[in-house]
Amino acid sequence: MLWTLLVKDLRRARHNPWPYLINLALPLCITALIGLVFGPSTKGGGLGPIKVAVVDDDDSVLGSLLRGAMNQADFKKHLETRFLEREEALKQINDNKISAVLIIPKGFTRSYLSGDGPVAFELIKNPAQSFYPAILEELLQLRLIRAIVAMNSYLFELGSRSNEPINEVELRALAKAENLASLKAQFAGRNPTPSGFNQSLPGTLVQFLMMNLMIFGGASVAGERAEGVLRRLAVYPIRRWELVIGKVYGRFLLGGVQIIFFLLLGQFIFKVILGQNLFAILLTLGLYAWVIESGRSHGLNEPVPYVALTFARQSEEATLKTTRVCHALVRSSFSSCFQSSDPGAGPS
Amino acid sequence: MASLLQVNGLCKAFGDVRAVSDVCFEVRAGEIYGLLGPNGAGKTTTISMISGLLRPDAGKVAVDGADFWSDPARAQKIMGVVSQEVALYEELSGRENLEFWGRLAGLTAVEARGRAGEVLEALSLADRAREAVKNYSGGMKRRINIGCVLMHRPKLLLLDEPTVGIDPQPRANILEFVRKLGAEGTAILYTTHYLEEAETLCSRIGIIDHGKLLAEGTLPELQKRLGGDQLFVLEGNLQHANSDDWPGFRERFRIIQKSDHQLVVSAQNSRLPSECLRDLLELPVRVENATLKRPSLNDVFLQLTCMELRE
Repeated sequence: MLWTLLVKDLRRARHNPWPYLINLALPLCITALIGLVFGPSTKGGGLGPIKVAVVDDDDSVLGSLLRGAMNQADFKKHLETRFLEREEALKQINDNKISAVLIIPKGFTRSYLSGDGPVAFELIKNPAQSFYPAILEELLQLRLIRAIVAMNSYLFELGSRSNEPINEVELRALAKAENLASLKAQFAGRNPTPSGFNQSLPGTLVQFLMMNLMIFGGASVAGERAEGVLRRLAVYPIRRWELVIGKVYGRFLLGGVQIIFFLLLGQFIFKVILGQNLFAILLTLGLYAWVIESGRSHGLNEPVPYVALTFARQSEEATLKTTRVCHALVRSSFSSCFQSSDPGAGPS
Repeated sequence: MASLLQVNGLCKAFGDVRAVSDVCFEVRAGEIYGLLGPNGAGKTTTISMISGLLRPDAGKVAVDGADFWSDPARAQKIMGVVSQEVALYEELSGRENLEFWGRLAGLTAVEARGRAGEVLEALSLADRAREAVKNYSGGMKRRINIGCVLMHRPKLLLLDEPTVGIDPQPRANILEFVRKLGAEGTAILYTTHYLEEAETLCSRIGIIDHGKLLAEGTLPELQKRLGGDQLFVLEGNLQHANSDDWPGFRERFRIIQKSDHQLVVSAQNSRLPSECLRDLLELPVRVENATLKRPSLNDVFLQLTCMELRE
């Protein structure tokens, strides 16, 4: 019986696919439009890697340490570093190919070791770019501090071995030795702050899923009532629960197709980050769809045999109550799932 | 013949309105029972109670010998109900509709497929079977609508004004089809407000108005209620005519209908038509025309309700 009711609903959708196709196409258009307006990128907060050149005029141990720090994986994700000669680096900055040039001046290490006076790196920023050089400055400060801390630890180690003055050859040899302990650093849990498609697609999906189930589902049932089909159904030897479930899960299945369609499209076309809880997302959306659809069909569950006369009014009331709660729940759960609104830490 | 439907003392009220009041009748196998009445007479309410859409306030409905409400599913499997509306899925084809309603009535997929072919042939719709119902004409939709309830070969068929609003030709086709079903042994309860349908189609007729079954019987039995098989129609200026002023008139004639221009009467006892006609022509009114006719169902209805069968 349930299978018969399901097949009937799917056949109806096949014979008149336009409402359903519109319901699939329209949110796609909205998602694409939002992507066009606010930027489609979903990874790294919407920024590509910053291109930077390093000129090591000192050819020193500190340069080696800095090179090593810049080649670490998490750093490479944000920076595209090239080690160039000064002329070539300045030429590229003039051609607007890079965002900045970091120069380790000649004699930097010697001056640092002798402690004659303050030493400084040079950072030449590309005036044609606005925020990339600023971000780069922040990132470099972090990396330079890390490199200098490393060098200081080597100096401390060398200084503790003998009372001889520290020379660069020994320092370089020590820097080449393998570290016994290392720090593996990573960001806690949460995916990058969503933007573009990552921000728009999940919300659009939830809203159009609700629209599909409520408006098109409701219109379908209202049509059946107006045409007398519900009245006819009521005189067939069908149990009440079969009628209710039959009405719910045909449309629920179409809602399921919509969910999968959007998640696939989001994953492969819009590059939406679905996070590590795909099952939880599917479960939440599935429950959401079921509750909306069963809430909409609540009117059919009345014990009065002649349900058709009261169907529309009851359905409307039940739907409104259920949907308000449900929609709020799903939107809030999605806020902590794959539609983050907080760029800071979050659950993994 | 076995009685497939027995209705006893059926009552239903909506607030202060008594929609159906103490209605009793039965429909036997192979019989087409016509429930004739104007709109709002209580025909659809009666059918709704028989089919389980409404629970009666009082009275009993027995289908094939068993009380309907003791096992509604059993009763619903035996019966088929065609409502006034064309209750079909318009996006689906005629065949898909037939198969769907057949499956709901309990047929297997294979049975439904086979039976749909038979019904389509019987309804002369086999060549349009794959077309969406929304492209059908009104008459074709009505035929498919009836076909859907025939899928499981119901022993009892309830047809609630199945020909309302359709053209004469498709109406004739449907009536012919219903007649054939009756001949095949199906018990049919047929509600209508078309007199000619009840006259030509139904083996027995119940006349219902304001929720009450006023009379029932075969057409000759109903005609006999008028006191004979002839009616006398006088036409003329009858505006100021008062039958109470005519000596002996009430003893000899019964007034079926009276208007300013027409008086329809039947004879109270079996006398020769020529004698009756002579008596009528001697009345102190100016008669322009006098005719003799066989009583029709409309005359019976007029006599019972004192009004023309209204639309």
